[in-house]
Amino acid sequence: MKIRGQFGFGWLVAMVLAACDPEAGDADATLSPPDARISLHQVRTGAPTREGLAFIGAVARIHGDADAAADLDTRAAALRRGLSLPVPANLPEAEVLRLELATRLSETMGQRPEGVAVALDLLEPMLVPENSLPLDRASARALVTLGDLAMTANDDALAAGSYARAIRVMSALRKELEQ
Amino acid sequence: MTTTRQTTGSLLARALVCAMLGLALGCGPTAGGGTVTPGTSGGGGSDPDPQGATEGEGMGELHKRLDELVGRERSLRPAAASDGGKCEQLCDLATSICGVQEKLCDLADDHPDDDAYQGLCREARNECREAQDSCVRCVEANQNQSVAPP
Repeated sequence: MKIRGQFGFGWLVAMVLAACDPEAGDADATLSPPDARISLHQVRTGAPTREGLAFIGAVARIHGDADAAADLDTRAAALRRGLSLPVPANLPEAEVLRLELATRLSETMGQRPEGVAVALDLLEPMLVPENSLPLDRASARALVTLGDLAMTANDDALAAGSYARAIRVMSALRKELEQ
Repeated sequence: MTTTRQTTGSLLARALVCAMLGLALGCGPTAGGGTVTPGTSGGGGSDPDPQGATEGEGMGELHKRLDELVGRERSLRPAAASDGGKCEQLCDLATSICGVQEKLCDLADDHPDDDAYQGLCREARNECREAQDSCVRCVEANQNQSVAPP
């Protein structure tokens, strides 16, 4: 019993040390292969509605406010307001508009070192390979931004996967144009 | 953006027509010094009428040809503008694809023994090349369409 108890204590110490190793998580991320899967769907256009036009107008004003913002915080606040706008029903274009807002907000936050992790937390879930993305330049731009943020965070696998997926989106757009 | 493209396309079409007119006026058999009878003033004297065998019908023919070219330019303008916009989009995509490819391959250089990274870099290079070829093909086709005979 005594031997087993000492072994158990040593094992516990080893586990705690491994869990506290700050590089353990990064090593796992670096060792995982890049995930370049992409699934795309056409952006549908819905029938124009008053609510839809009001939403599009509000998003345009938000971008204008962000352009005019004097500092990063004011710009980020404007873009957050845009993301919190309620999306009206039957407005398929809202998906692209929200993706553009999220990308711009992530780019803004990523300009500060302490904002990179938050920006990744915002953008990564919207672009997971399991989700289908709109076949639009907005998806490509979002993926490139995700790749840049991942590079800053030393997550090579996420960066490479995001860049490769961005290229696949643009390649699909090119083929569509050529038809 | 669309306005810029249309303006660019319109300018392109006008530039092409100007070039065609320039060729017609400057390089045609009815123009230039080749048809002026040696030893005469070549149009610089008091007689305003054209000199030489082919210059006798020059003004009328040039007016006719000008009208034809203007009509042709008008018929080509919408097609040239839309194709110009398409080429602009294709070339813009090629630039973006190749820019991202550089980032991806720089990253792959840090993982020389990792097949996954190397494979993605190879694929990206191919996409970059294909996109550039596509841009060149579009521009060449657009130019050929603009100068082809009616």
